[in-house]
Amino acid sequence: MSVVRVAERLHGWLTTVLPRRVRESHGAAIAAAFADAARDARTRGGVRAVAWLLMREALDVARAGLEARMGGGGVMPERDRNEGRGGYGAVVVEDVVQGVRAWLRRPGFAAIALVVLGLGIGSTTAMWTIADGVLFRPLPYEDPERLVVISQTLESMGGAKVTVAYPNYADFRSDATTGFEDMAAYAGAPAMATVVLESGPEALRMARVSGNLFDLLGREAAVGRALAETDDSPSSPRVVVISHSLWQTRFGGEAVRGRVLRIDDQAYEVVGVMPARFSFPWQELDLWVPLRIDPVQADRDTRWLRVLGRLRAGVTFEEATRRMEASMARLIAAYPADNRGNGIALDRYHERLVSDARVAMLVLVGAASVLLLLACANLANLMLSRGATRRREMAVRSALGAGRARLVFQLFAENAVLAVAGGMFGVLLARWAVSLLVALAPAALPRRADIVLDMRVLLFALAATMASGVLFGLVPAFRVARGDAAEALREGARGTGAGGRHRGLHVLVVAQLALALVLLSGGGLLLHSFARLVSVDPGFDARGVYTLHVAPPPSRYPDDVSVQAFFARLVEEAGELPGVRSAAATWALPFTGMWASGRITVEGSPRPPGRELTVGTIPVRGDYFATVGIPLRAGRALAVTDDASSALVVIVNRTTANALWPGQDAVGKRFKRGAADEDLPWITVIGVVDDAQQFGLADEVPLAMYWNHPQRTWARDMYLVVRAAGDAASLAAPLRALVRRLDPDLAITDAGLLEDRIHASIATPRFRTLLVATFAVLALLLSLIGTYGVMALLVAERQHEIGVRMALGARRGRVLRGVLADGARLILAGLVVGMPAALLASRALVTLLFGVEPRDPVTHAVAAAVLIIAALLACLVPALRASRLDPILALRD
Amino acid sequence: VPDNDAFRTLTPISLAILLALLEEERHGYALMKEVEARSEGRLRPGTGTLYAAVQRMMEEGLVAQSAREPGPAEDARRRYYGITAAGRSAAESEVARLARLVEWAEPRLAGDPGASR
Repeated sequence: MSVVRVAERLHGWLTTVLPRRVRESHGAAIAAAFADAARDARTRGGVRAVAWLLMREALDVARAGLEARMGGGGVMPERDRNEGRGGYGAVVVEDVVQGVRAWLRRPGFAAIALVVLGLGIGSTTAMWTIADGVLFRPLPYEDPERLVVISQTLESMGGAKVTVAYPNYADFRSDATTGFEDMAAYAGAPAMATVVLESGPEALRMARVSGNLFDLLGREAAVGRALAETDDSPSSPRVVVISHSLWQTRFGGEAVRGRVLRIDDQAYEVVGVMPARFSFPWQELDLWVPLRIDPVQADRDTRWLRVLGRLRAGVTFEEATRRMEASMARLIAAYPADNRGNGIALDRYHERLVSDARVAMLVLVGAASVLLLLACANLANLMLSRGATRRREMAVRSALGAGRARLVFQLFAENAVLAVAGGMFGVLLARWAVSLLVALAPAALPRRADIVLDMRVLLFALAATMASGVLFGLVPAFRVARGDAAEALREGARGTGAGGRHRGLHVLVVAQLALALVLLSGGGLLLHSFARLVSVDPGFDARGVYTLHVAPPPSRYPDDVSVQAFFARLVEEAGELPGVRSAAATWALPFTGMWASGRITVEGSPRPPGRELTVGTIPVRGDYFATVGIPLRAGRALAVTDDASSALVVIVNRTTANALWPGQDAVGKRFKRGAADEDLPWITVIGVVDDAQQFGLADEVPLAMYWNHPQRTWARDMYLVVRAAGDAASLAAPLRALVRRLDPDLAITDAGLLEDRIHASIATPRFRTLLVATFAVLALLLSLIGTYGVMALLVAERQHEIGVRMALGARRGRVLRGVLADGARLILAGLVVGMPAALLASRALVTLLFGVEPRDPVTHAVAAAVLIIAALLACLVPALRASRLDPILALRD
Repeated sequence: VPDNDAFRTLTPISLAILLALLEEERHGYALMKEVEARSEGRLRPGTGTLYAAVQRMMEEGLVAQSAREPGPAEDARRRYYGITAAGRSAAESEVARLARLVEWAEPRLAGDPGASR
């Protein structure tokens, strides 16, 4: 379509603002005249001239339409019209300048309006941006919708999804009937690898992945090459791909291909650098190395791989599920000993990645949207009440001969100035909020690298707030234009009962109070839930405990003897440091996610094969229970004498004792690992300790047994746990020095206060609680501003009436009560509307709450009480002002 | 000329439209260009202003739509407008008023103290 045709189309749309009789008699002629003008403009000055013409026409048509509708006068100031000078461009500029001046004369009002606009736009844009990046933006991989996570399931764990054994993965991959183009695998969790750099040993986040993973994702390296299928064999040379940020920060972005890195004491050649922000499968990875699995040694009963598959084009998720189930059934039949009790489960990758964050994100977006709605109502409220006080000014100017169109146009300019300023403030706020929130967001927030400020969301929020501000700002001018100027003058002079005229204002205040109640209840529920969460007793005493993790590499610690010797020395020497009360070590420190579990058979009560109970195994060393403060309830603690040469003994937690030997004394009871038919030695329970949280405060305590490290030597990496006599944080330096003295090349892979680990474990609920609570407080403030504004207006307008009443003998207390009663009616209406809305909205929180019901009456009542008290206080100020009126002055005004 | 019209002051755009139609009937865009040329670029009405004025002036009987049809090479939507007798006399009285104004003002602007009132 030519430029002229486009312009004609737009112009046709513009002319709909002209009065109907003009359009009806001249519609076609107008179109023809514009077409002539547009063709002319194009030959004279091309597209730019057409654009200019269109802009001039837009203003001209708007002005003509306004003038024709308003009748009398014009948009242009009288002198300009009569002089025929300058045109409307100059008038627009003048009105904008006037608008700025008008706001500068009322800086308080302008500031409130700006803040309201800014908050509405800023919060909504920020939350939508984050939600968009996390939940909706396509993943940065080729055809990401075809990526599927494949898990095994275990009947013995209630059908829970677990990782996949290597031989099963290899069989799935070579099975042509599964409906998958290819599959790739990676080790179940990021490893902390010790890399010796020029600055010394450093712990870096490393993923062990199958060589074909990058092909499967459809991502290539930024420098050099990514890993390939050929890197995967145990006989191929060791190679590593590094992250863009590691390349930039540790190698200065210089040539790194061919450099050799010592990773966990093995030499790896750097073959490539991944692009910035690529970090699959976990966030903030530094290194990718191939799995290099020897298929001969791989064990079908050791499930440790996560498997990612790419569906063949045209194969649906459901069909792939059916085919994989069939494939698994064949593997169970072929290897019953290892695979019985196993199943298969598929998840869409994107779903699996974001499902944990979804509900919380949507709740936050909802809360921010409620706040935007509230900001719109508040702004409309502000504009209307200011308009009401300006009706007299409008009426006077109208009486003095200002055209109605002129008044409307000027008010429009005034509000547009405010809207643009507020919009810019909101955009700034949004940008700032997004970067702040991304920085503050808990580590568990997925896809943080995909969050970028979203223009569509920004434009929507801008449009919504600006429209409400501009539209409602115009109301007073239209009121004058409707011809009640004379009435306005009379009322302005006297101020009689305000009742019905402010119905619009009242509706807006009620809406604001109701919306505020929704956010207050939601914020209250999350706060209540969070309070419940932090009051959960973890079962151990984290205060004053410092922890650090080390993993002696197999190259220098080739056997159990050397590992055992290292940890024995570490715990012993740590215990002798000044300021240390006791030292111990554990493989599975609480709140670190470390966990290993296996099937057991209790002596005297065997269970059918594949249905054995699964119990966690925690190797510990030293006086672990005293050090972390887990009380021993029965039997004896582990001792140094419980070593490789003595009988196998464990301590179980109370949950295990109750589950395995209900109503009996667990001490002295025996069980063995594996199924009933497996020939493994009996293990004796020598003690029972209190339950301790292992995964998180909101989680159930797992079945767990504690082993002395010398009897569970597969634990090659351990957390050193140290209870301080004084300040635990001050032990960081001496403990670091101790590790360096024992082994200068050993990196500390993780270190920190045990208390901080608990805090970190509740970072996600804390983050969302904080956000929703912030929204709730802002909502409360906005609704209070709204309530105060309307009550103040009411009192100002009824000054005369109140003066008369007081002159006739009404007492001040009665006046005060009267005004408060008016306010109370508004508040009550807000509660009536807000309560059901709050109850309904709180249902969205159900999966986020811990120990609190969404309909919790106490929380809802407290939220309502807070709103009632705060809103009454907002009414009290104008009410007091009314009761202190001097009747003489009030009547004279 | 009816008596009440003697007091009417045409708006600048109305007068300009009447004057632009004195010599010939014109279609919309030609009218816009003529108004602009005659006012030495001081008046540049867009389609909205022009047609709102044309509509008002048609209702007042100052201009009328012409019977002339657009030619075969022209945009078929074009309409031609002409001045009526009432329009011509309104223009005449407005121009006469302006002439008297000019006659009065010129010597004063030129600083001639002897000019009579």
